[in-house]
Amino acid sequence: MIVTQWALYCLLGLAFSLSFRVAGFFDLSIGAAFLLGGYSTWWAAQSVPLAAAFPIGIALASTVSILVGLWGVAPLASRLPPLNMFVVTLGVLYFVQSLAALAFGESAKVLRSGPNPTFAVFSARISFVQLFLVAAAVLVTLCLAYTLARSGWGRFARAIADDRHLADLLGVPIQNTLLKTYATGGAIAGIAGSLFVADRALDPAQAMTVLLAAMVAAILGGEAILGAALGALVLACLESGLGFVMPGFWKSTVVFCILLAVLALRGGGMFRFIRRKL
Amino acid sequence: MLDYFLKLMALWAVFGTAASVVAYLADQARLIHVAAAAIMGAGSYTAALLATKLGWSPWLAISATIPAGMLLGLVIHLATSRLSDDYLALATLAIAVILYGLMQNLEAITNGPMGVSNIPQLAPVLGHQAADLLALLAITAVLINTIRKTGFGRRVRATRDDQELADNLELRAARVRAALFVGSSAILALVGGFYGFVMRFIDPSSFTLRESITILAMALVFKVPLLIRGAAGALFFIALPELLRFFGVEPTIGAQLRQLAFAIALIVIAARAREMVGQHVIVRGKAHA
Repeated sequence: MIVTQWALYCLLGLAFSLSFRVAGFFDLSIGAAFLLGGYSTWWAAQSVPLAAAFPIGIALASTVSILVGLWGVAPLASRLPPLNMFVVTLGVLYFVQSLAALAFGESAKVLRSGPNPTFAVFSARISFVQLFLVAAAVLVTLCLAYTLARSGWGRFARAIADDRHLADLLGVPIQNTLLKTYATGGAIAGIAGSLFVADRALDPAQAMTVLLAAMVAAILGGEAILGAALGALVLACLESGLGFVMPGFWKSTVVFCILLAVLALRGGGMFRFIRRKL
Repeated sequence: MLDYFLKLMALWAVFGTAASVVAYLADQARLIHVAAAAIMGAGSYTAALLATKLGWSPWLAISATIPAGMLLGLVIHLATSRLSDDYLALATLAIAVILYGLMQNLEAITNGPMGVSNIPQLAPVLGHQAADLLALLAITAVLINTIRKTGFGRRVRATRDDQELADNLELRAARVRAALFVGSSAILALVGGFYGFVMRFIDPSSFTLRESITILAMALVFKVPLLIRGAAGALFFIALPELLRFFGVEPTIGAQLRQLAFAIALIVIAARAREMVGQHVIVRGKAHA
C-alpha cells in the first residue's frame, strides 16, 4: 500500500511542485485537473473499454488544463502577485468541483464493479491498476527529471524558479514557459485522477483531500521540483507507519502537525541537498 | 419569518466580525489567515462545553473564550513566527486542518462528529441575540479602524512594509506580530463562542477548512474601506444562497450554484485586483495605507 500511496502523492506532488517552484504560487487548480482526469475517464469508460478510457480521460484533462492555462492562468501569473494566483486557482478548483457535482452528482463514482484482479509481489498483493499507477509515477518522475535537466523548457523553468526577474532580463520567454509548466502539471494531475478512479471511489470533495497531501509532499520535498517524489515517499511511509500506532482517523492531523513543524523549523524542506540540481 | 431574518442577521454579524479581523490582518499586516473558522471552532467548543458539561453560566462560558483564544493565538504565533506570505498561508491552513482533526477525533471531550447539542440560550443584553452580535460587529469594525490610526497601527504597517527597517527602528516586529495573532485569535474565539449560542448546536462540519477559506474570501472580496470590508463581504456570501433559495432553487442544486457563483467571484476578484493584501502606496509624496 505504501507504494501505491507514494505513486499518487508523487504524481500530484510533482504537479504541484512544478507550479509552485517555477511559477511561484500555490496552484490549487491541480486539484481541478485531478478531478477532470478522474471524471472524464469514468464518463468515457461508460461507453468504451477501460484501456481506451484512460487515454481519453488523460487527453481531456490535459486539453482543458492547456486551455485554462493558455487563456487564464499563464497570462494572469505573469502579472499578478502569488496571493492573487492562489485565489484564482482556488476559484478554478471550486468551479470544477461544482460542475462535477452538478454533472455527476455528489455521490462517489467507482469504475470497477468488484475487486480488481491482483497478483503477488513478494508477500504483498497488487492490482494491475495499482501497478500502472506506480509505473506512471516512476515514468513521470524520470521523464520530468530528464526534461528539466536537458530540454530548453527545463532550463528556462529552472532559470525562472531561481530568479524570475533575472531570467526575464536575459530574454527567457516567461509566459510561454509558464504555460508549458502549467500544462505539464495539469497533464500529470490528469494522469493521477484517471488512474485513481480506476482504483478507488472518486467524489468532488476528494480533490481537496489529495491536493493537501500533494502540498505536504511538495513542501517536505524542499526547494527542488523532484524533491516532491521524496516528500511523497516520506508522507506515504508516515501514513502507513502511523496506522500501526494510532487509529487511522488521526493520520491527517499528525501529518499536518509534522508539516507545521517542518515549516517552522526547516522552511526549505527536508531534502535541501538536491536543491541546485533539479 | 422574523426569526429566520433575525438568525440571518446574527450569522451575518458573526461572519462579518470574523471577516473584519481577517481583513485587518491581510490589509494592514500582510498576514494571510486561513484558520479563522478553526479558531472560531475552538472558541465555540470552549464555550459550549463549559456551558453544557460543567454547567457554567452562558456569559461566563463566553468570557472564557477570550483567554482560550489568546492562548491559541500565542501558539499560532510561535509556530509561524518565521513564516510569511504563501508559507504563512500554508501554515495557517495546516493549523485549520489540525484543529478540525482535534474537534472531530477527541470524542471523549468534543463528542466527535455528533457535536455538542442542547447549548443553553444566551440572555441577550440588547433585547435579541442578533442585536448583541450586530453590536459586536460594529465594535470590532470601529476598534479595527481606531487601532489603524494609533501608534500600534503605524508599527503594524511599518513592519508589513519593511521588516528590516522596522527592526532597525526598534519597533519590535516580533512583538507586534505576536500581539496581532493573540488579539485576532481572542476576537475570533469570542465570536465563535457566540456562534455556538446562536445555533444551539455545533459540530466539526461548521469549522472546516472550507469555512476558513470562505471567511478569507469575505475579507478580500470588496476593496471598500476597512471599516465595512468584513461586513460587506459577509453580506455578499450570506445573502447569495438565501437569494437562490427565494428563487425556488432546490437546496442541493442551490448549494452547488452558490459554490459556482463563489468560484466565479473568486476568480474575477483576484484577477482584477492588483494586490489583494495591503501594500505601501506612495501618492504625490504622501504615504497611504
